[in-house]
Amino acid sequence: MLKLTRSSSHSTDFEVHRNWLAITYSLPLSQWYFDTTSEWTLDYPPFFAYFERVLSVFAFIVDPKIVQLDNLGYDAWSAVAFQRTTVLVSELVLASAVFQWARRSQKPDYPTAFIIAVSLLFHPGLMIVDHIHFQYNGFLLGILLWSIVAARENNLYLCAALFATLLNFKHIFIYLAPPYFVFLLRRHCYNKSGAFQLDRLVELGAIVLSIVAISFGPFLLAGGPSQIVQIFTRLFPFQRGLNHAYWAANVWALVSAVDRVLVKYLVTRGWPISAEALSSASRGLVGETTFGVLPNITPGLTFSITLGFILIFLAKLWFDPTYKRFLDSVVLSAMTSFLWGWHVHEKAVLLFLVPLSLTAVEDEDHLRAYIIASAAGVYSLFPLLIKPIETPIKIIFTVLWCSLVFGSLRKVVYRPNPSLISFLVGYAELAYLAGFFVLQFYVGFLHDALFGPLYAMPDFAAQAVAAAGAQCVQNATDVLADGSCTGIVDAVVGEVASNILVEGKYEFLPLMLTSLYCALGIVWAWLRLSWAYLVR
Amino acid sequence: MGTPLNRQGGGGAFVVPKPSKTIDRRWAVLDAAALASRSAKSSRRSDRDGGDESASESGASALSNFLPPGGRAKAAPGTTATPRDLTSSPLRTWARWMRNSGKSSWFIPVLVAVALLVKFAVGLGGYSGLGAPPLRGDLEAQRHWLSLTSSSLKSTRLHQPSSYSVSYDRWYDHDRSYWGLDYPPLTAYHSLLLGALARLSSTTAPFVALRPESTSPAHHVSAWNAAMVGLERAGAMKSWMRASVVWGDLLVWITAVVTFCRIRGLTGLSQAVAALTVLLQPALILVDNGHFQYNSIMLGLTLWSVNLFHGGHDLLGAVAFVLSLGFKQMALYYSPAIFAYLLGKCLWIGGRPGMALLIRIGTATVASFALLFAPFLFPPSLLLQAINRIFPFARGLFEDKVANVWCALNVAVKLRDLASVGVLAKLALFATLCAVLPSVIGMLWVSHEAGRRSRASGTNTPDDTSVGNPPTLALLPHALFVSAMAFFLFSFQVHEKSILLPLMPLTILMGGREAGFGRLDWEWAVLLNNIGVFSMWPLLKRDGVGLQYIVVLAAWNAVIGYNPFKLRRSFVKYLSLASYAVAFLIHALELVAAPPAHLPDLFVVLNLTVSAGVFALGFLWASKRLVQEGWAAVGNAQF
Repeated sequence: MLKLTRSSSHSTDFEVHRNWLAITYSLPLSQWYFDTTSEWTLDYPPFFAYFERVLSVFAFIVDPKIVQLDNLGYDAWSAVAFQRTTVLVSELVLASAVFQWARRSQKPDYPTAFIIAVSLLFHPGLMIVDHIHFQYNGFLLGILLWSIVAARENNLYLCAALFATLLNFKHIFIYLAPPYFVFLLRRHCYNKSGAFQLDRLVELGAIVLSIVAISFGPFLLAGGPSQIVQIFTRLFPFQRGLNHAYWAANVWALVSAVDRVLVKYLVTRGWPISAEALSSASRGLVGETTFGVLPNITPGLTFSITLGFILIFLAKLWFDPTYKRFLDSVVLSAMTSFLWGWHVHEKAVLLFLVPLSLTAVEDEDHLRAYIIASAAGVYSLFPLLIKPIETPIKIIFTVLWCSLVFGSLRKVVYRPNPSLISFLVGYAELAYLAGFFVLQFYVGFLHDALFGPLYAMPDFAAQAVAAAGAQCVQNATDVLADGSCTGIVDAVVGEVASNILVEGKYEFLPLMLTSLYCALGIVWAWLRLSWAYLVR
Repeated sequence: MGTPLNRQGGGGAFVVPKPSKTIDRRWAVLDAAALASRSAKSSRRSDRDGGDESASESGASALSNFLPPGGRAKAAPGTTATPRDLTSSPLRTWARWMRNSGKSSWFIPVLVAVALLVKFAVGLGGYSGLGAPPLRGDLEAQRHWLSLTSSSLKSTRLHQPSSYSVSYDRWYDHDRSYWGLDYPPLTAYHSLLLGALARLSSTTAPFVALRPESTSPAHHVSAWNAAMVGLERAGAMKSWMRASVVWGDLLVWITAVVTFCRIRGLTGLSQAVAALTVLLQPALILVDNGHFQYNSIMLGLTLWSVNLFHGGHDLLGAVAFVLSLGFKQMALYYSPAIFAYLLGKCLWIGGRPGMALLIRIGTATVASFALLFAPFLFPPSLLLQAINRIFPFARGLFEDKVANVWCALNVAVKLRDLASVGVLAKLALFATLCAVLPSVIGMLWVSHEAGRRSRASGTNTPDDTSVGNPPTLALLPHALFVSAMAFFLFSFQVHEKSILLPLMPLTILMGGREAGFGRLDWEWAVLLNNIGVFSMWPLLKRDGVGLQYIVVLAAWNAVIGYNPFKLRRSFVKYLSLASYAVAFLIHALELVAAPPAHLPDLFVVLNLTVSAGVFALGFLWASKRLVQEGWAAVGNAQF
């Protein structure tokens, strides 16, 4: 219910999806991936395009203007209400999935699983990304959870089919493909005595390939292989930089920060630093990152690191292909690719937060990792909401959610006797969580108090307008009958109104601190989970 | 026996005695008597309607003050199914989950957080006068007062957002054509405080830039206007102002509601449910956090005065009510009931101590008024000016369309053509007095009679004034409702937002259901709340909070577990169903059809006529209820 109340703000992603509605509605299939009317071109796989096509039919009924291709930036009430409603309705997939998961859950038992299910439905991350920022993650994660449920029920054909479908909705889920592949192969294609069964592999392959055929087939028929090539260039744009527009809370954020600090330090010591790196370091966050001191990171390097870690996890899964280990490896693959990947988007935290929730009460390690990762992950999404009025909402909602969920889940997890180290680590984690309040205090209040933003004072504005007025009196032709000169003054008024906000210094600092602090937490949770996964 | 019990319980309408470990003799007697009468009553009722013992019927709930629902709660485990049926609600389910998972100590923080969250979420939407220069709306009015009052401060620690300064003696005289200050002094001081806070930081100081007087050169005004448009676009001003409302809520209104529920004997689960029911009341949230006003402070101060009366702090209570009046003159709607209670208490005590109390209360009231108005007392012309601004009798009988008797009558009879403003004002005054006086006289009679009887039976000796409250305390919420509703229906210059005043005492009574009675109170309260919000629809629509209107209203009805179809058969059930049907019809018509050209206000007029009808019926019902309660209170004092 509360979700609707939040309909009042929207972002670029809102316009992205509106534009996709328009593309899929107004253009023939063969043009979908070629259209460049808007800068927000279609860059999701075909199933998502079909999904938008279905929605656009309803959109046309609601308000034909939504699906006009050249109607860029259209945000009338009808469009907002329609698109928000589609998110809400599509989230029913998630709701059905979590309740299905909870209904037959053995471990955790049903009451705990129910709490986790409700906590997922009201996940602050989903609230921020889907309902305020605007995306369809709830829907997609719902499909993921359905396939996980299928894996639990040992319904492996369904599991494979759902995952293949999901991949054709949003290719970012390819990060989760390795554990799926290994799990299905080991679990399904080897019989009890360990012999390989080719027929089963062929069956699975046929299912996956037929889904891909449904997805890409129409494009192949409509425009031949060039269509497929075009789709792939849209799906995997390699020309982007290491970090996204602002840093996702991953390892590269930490590395970049270390580099910045080294650059500043070495410049004072008179070291030769390339001009490119200097400008990259001083302009904050936007654009490509060039390191001044540390070696530059290439996409190849990030991929090999990611793959290396994932292979380690998969080795363990290969020898022990149980559902529990499969779920853990899904979480770890998502986390690894988030932490070490190239051009990671901050919204990708949801990819591991959601499956991680399912394992939260597995044991003390999982619970602790879950708490730290959820807090850090959700907080790293906070900068997506920039309006000041949204600040108290996101804070209160997150604190409420965290205290209710963490508080309930802590009760059901057996806590082993603490050793000195685990005791200290426990306190360090607590201090880390408390640190979020300090960070929020800095980001939300102290930074502004120290460095602006400043508003131009109305008195300055008055001078500007008065000057314009005086100028206009000199220029007699502009003077109207009543002696005022509305035209010029109005122009100046408009200018003053749009320039009233003077940017403050060190604008990038709050964002940088946020992603660094969150990165620390997520890296820690990842280490802890990996250790538990590999050692225990 | 009656009176000491009265004192012990503070005369609350839904007192739950604590499970007494040290069994006081009086409580033992009470428990025995109550349980006996309870079992008789409930068996009688269960014959009639399937074992719901959740609510005493509307009458004689002064008696039910002494029925221990605590006892019922203790006996509940075996028979939980039956009483839950009609009063189950998502809120209760949630609270039960909280309690069962051992989070009872979290009730208060969580309910406060939920209330704040909803308020902020509603605040995301539009507000009165967003982007509508030159006058804008209520947010600009309040902002203007912030800048007006705080411009009188001169300190080097404060930033100077504009070069104008208005000293306090010109507050009520500054630029009357542009949102001249027309609220009593406490609002001015409140604005002064907020303005000073804003001026502490260079970031927020421009929010309180004083608009140049309307007489100053045009380019000054347009420069200021440009700055305002910039601030409106940046959004930080809106969120700062919104936050100031919410913090006011937190300090005054939320604390008052939580305290009230505690005083009325609710703890833990039931307190949380009762308090949230009140705090999520859609009307107040939509007006304060949507439309933008500071009503919750005024309502909270009045509720604090009721709380203080419960604690026997009559003087402090009177001062709190004066503060409420000093914040918004609209609290005048409550004054007959408060007056009747306080004078009634003096009568109840009787004799010399009663007189002494009267004198003390009078002195405290006059002194606090004098303190409030102190800066404006001298010269007298200043005071007169302030009073003239606060009570603008020169305006018409009604300004905008509002769901009261005059507007409804106006549909048939064009009153304003029949008589001059002065005559109409007298007529309105007379009608209001006629509507209010019976309840005042009734309250006074009840207090007097109860006091006389208990003195006669020797339980209340005149020097025994340090403890205890008269039985009318239990009637106070109803009396507040009756008097505020009378003002709303019959008085002069009513705003549609004034419906908040009658709704407040009724809404706080809704907690009674959590203690197991007051079923009809609850049903009427929901009906009047829903129709009250409906009556503000034209206003809310104008402010761009239509979506919030639907969501908050629907969510509130859902979480408190209200389903008009499932109510027990009674007049209020059919009235509710009928009025909701009409309301839906009006909304649907408005959605699909434009009003005919010669009747542009058709839907508004339909809306207010229906609402006025429901309000009038609510008024009659509450009057009847007051008579019943009063009668029961006097009867109770007999033995």
